[in-house]
Amino acid sequence: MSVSPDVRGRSARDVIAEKADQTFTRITAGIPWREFRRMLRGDPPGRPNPRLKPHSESFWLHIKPSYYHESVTKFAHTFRLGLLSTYLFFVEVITGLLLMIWYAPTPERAYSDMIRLLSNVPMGQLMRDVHRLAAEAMVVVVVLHMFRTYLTGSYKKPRQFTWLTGVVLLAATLFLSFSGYLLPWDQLAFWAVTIGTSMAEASPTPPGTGWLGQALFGKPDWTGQFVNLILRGSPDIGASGLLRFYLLHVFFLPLTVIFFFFMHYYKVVHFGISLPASEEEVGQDTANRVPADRRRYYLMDVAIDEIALLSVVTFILVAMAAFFYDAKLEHIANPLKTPLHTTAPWYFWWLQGMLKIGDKVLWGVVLPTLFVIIVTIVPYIDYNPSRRGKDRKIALFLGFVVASALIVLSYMGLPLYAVQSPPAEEVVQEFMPEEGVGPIREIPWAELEVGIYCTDTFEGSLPYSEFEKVIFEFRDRIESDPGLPQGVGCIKVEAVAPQLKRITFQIDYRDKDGKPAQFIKPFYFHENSLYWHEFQF
Amino acid sequence: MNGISRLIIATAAIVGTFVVVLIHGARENERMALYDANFRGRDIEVGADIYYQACAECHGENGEGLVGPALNAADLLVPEPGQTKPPRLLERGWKGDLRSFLEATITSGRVGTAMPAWGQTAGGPLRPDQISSVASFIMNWGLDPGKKWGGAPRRVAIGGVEPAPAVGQELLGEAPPRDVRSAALGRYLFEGPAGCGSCHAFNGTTGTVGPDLTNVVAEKGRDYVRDSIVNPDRTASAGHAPGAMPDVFEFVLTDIEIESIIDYLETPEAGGESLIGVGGETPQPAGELDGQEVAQGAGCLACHSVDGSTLVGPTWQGLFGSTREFEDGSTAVADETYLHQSIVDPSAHIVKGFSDLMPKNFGDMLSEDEINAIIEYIKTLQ
Repeated sequence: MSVSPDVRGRSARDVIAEKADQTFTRITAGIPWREFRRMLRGDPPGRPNPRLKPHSESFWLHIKPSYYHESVTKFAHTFRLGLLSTYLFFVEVITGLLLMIWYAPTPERAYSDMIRLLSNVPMGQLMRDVHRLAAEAMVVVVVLHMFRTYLTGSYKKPRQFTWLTGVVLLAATLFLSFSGYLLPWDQLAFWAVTIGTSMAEASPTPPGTGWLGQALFGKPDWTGQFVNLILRGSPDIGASGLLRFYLLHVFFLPLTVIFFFFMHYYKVVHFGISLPASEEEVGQDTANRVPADRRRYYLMDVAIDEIALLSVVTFILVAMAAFFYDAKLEHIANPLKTPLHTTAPWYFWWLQGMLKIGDKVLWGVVLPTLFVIIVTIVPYIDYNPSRRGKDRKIALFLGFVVASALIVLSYMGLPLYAVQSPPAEEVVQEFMPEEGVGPIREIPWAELEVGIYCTDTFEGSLPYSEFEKVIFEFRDRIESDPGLPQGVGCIKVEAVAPQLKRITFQIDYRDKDGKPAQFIKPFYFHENSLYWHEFQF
Repeated sequence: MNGISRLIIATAAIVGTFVVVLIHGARENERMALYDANFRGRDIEVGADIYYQACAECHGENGEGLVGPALNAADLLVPEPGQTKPPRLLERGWKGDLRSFLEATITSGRVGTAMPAWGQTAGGPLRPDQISSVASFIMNWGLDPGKKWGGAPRRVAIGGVEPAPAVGQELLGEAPPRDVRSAALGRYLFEGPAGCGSCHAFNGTTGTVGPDLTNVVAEKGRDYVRDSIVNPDRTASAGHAPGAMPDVFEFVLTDIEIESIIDYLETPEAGGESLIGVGGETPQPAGELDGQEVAQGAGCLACHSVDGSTLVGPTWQGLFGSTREFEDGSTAVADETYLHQSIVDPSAHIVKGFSDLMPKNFGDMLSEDEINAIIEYIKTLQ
């Protein structure tokens, strides 16, 4: 029997140890076991630094810098928002791929697939909640990332193009989130997207192209309809629109994000993360000239920071999704019934707010487009070379003005500003909303006893039941509403079928002219329908 | 922080994540079962909403069956012992299950009856998911088939002597106490807050929107009047559209108040000659049937209007004596013989523009006297 020459004459123990270490070194892309242990302990590297090898050996590490300037690794310098948004995108891809297994993008199946996912797939709800929560978090993180970059002036030379790709990534993130909205095919999805896409309807028609519209749609004002048609695939959202949004959501937009992410990140590594402005001269960029004594190596120092941060974020994300956060599923999309208080997703509220101010074309298209263009080219128009706060008073002031304006506009986009239904309808919506829970559905089903309860004569009996308390709230709400003079509300509860009650709201009041007016609305309430308020851990 | 303590945090967070997933996973079966029931419940709610808007008119509030067959019935919903399907499915030789039977019937309607096609695929208004919800609602009756649900609930109030703010009209003098039944309270409500008098004439008052209520109690009885107040649509009189009278009085009036209004309507016609029936019911004159009531009871008026509008079937207004054009191109004058034949054998002549939807069993359901009463009633609708 022949023996390999390199083990001849050596003890088995030595050979195994050596082979094991070789395997370990291959797995770690160049770091032997002893060095790895020193690395974890935080011992300083030897010279030449044996821990740089993985940066040339492995794909994932070769795109990471091997060391950072000590000052940029401080948490409060970047808040690691770029890393976080990348990680959240990764979470979205994983959970999204899993969710795709149980989903078919057709109006006939989408909604029932969601129900099946929630009531028939183990962990289905958790997956969906994490996906939704991480998506919302990603929008927040990406926006904050941009704001941080603006505040520290990190978009300035030589990082203009990095900023530009970042704006594309922000837009892609918003549209990723928005396109995902439609997929459950419930009322929320359908109407949020209907409103979102109808904003595109305001697109102005280029002058002199009326003949084209005349030929295509039979009217000269064609651009809005055209854009809408491209987005929805038909005049209204239907099967084609759902398929288009699905493809945008799972294919085109993620591809865009991946493509621009690598451009963005290449530039980040190429130029280095900008130092705190106070640490370098105005107009200089020394991020890539890191003195040896101020280096923090990625392996294993910064890497542990990142691992710890992402582990904690994962824990928070999963724990919140499991215990505190539920992605709601409303009733199936009904194109014939617009729910009260329909809004676009929250990150487009500012746009909805602008639409409420005035002219649809000016406020809905021209100004937002102008805003996006200015944000995109900020690095090219801001000629001030200094990144220090005291030299950038105007820029910082403008930044905060824009941020506050967006918040105010978002508030104005809420239904409580300017668009109100008739008061009686509002009251009923508060107590028994078309979607979601509301005070009446929170009452245990059995406590809703059959009868007619009118606010003018009902007194209840101590101790008050949950239902009685709600009736008093109902009374106070009606009596304090200036839009409902002499208002009397009645709630009629009937048992109409097994496990099913009909709850009819009626409000009598006098309208503006003092004439009697009335609002009546029946609801059906099944014993088993939870509306997400009872199943809590 | 040194590397080790950061690693400990990371490890703790990862372990914590797994623990969370395990805790969540341990209750997944329970949660899924709950969600399953939840979505079924919501489905039934949606179905109920559609049923009471679209179906209850013909199949009844309780599914007891009016023009259409009873749906809240064991022979539709529950298989007999030893059978896999309910009797009505077996009778028709239906190969599928109950849900597919209901959905197919709702979607496509039933030829030869007044049941139209409701599914969008068959030209109706409802989407497949809506039809599925209606089927869920109907199948929900199977938990307790045939039970009569509902009934007007009572007003829950303590010390309900406080008069409700008069929303109808200004108060007429002193308001009578509202917890003591009296014709005076009835009159007060009739002319005041309940607003009956603004639509109905009574004893010489002038309301013209609704029928004249003079002698109505004497002629039709207290139960009919009570039913008319509580369920106006079910008893809409000839010449008056169902739905015109607000369907709210059972809701805004207490039982005492409704009885008081009937007491008031029972008072004799001012200066009238007849005092017959005051406080009681007028005996139906023998041998004379009210064709309108017969038509109402048989459900004719669900499909035939008496005001000239076209519903499922041709209107009855101006029908008698007119010349009818038929689908096959022939014509005939609508005389008594024609009307009689049309009731007993509806397929014999199909009026141009209509389909053969009228039920074929009126000949068995109605007596000869009743059919004649209906014809007499049609004659009056000129």
